[in-house]
Amino acid sequence: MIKNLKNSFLGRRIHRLSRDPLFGAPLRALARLLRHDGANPAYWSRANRHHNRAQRAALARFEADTGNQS
Amino acid sequence: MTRRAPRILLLFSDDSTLIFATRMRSLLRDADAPAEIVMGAYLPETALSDRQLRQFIPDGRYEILDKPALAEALMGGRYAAIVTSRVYGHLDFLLSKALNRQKAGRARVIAFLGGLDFFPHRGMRNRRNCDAVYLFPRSTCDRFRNTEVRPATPELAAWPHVGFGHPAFLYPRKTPAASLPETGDIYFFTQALSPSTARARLHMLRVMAAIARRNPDRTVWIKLRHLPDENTRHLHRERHDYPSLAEQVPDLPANLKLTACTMDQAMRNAALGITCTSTAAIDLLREGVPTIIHLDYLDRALDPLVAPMQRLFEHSNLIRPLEDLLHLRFAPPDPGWLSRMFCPPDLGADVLRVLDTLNAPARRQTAPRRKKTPAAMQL
Repeated sequence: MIKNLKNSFLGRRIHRLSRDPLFGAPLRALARLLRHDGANPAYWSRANRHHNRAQRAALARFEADTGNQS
Repeated sequence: MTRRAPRILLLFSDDSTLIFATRMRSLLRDADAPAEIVMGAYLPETALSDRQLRQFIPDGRYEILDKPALAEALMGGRYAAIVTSRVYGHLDFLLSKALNRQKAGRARVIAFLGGLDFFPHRGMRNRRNCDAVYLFPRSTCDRFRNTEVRPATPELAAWPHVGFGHPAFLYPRKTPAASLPETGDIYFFTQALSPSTARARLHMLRVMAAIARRNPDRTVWIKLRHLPDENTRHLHRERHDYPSLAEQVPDLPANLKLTACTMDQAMRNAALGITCTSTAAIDLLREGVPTIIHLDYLDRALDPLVAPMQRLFEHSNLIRPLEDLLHLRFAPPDPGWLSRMFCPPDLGADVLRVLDTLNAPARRQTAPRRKKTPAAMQL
C-alpha cells in the first residue's frame, strides 16, 4: 500500500514538498511524529497497558530472584 | 522400460529463490541421479550480489533468462519441467493463456511457496495457473483445493495438482533434546518487524540480559538478521535496531553478546533457540534444536505478526509465556503438528512422480500417489 502511495501522483507531490526549503522541515517532523510508536491508539489502550505491566512485573520478579540467588 | 531422464529448469532471481533452487537441486539429484538439472536466473527480477552467487553456485553454471528466453524455456520443448518458488508475472501471463497451456511439449510448471507465508492468499492465487503446486502446512493445501483447483471435467483432469511440502520444511531428522543440553549457547533470533515498538524491543533485550545473568556459564547471543547499515532498501526495514538499543541499557552482562553470524553457524552450537515471530523457528526445528517461541512481549497488541504466528504454531507446544522463557522451560514439538507442517524427506522423488503423471497422455492421468512414508510422519 505504501509502495503504491509513493508511486502515486499525491505521493510524489508530498515527497517533493518534503524537500522544499520552507515546508520541508515541518512536513518531515510531522512524518516522524506519525511514525512514532505512540501514534497508534492501541499503544495507549488499557488492555495493552495492563499486559505490559504484567510482563514487566514478571521480569522484575525473576530479576529479584536471581539477585537473591547470587 | 527405461524412462528418459527429465531435464528440469530451476528458476531463481534473489537470495531466497536461490536457496530454494539449490535445496531443490540436491533433493532432485538424490531422487534421480540421471535427471539433468539446470539452474536459471530470471534476469528481469535479479537481485543477487557476487558474494551470494559465489556462495551458492561456485561453479557459475547457470543460464540467464530474459522474458523471451523464459517463454522459450516454457514452450520450446527443451525442458520437461520448470520448478520455481516464485511465479514471475511473465510466467503467470504465459500460463494464463489456454493456447499455451494445452500445447504439446510444453514444460510443466511446478510451483512451491516462497517460504513460511503468514498471508498465503496472494501466493495461492499467483499459482493457480501452474500444473502442480506444492504448499504447506496441510491446512493450506486443503484451502487451495477448495478455492483454486479447477474441478475435473470429462476432458480435463482437475488442475493444478496439489502437493505437500517445501525443501526447507523436511521432517526433522533429529529429535530435540528433552532437557537443555549441558553445553552450548542460547540464541535469540531477532526479526525486523517484531516486536514493533522500541520499548518492546528494549524489554526483550532486558529479558535476554536476565537469562544471561541466571546462566553465567553460557553465552546468550542476540542473532541479528543484518547489521544496522545493511539492508537499508529491504522491504522489511528495522526501525529500532538492537545494537542501538543495547547502548541504552547500561548494565548488560558480559555473557550477552550480539552477532550477525549465519544461521548455520548459530545452529552449530545452539543449545536453545528463542524467537518471537522469526521463521528461524523452522530452521531450528529442522535441525533438532530445542525451540521457544515467545509472543507475550510488550505491545503485542500492536504487532500484526503475532496473530498469524500464533495461528501457525498453535498446538506446536513451542509457544511459551515469559515465566517459561526466563526459566528456559521448553517442550519438544508436538508430532502431529510437525507432520502437518513438515513434509517427508522424499520430496524430490515425489516431484518426479508428479512430473511423470503430468507428462503422461491425458487419458491416463490420475492423481499421483505418494510413496508410503514412515509411520511417525503419518497422522
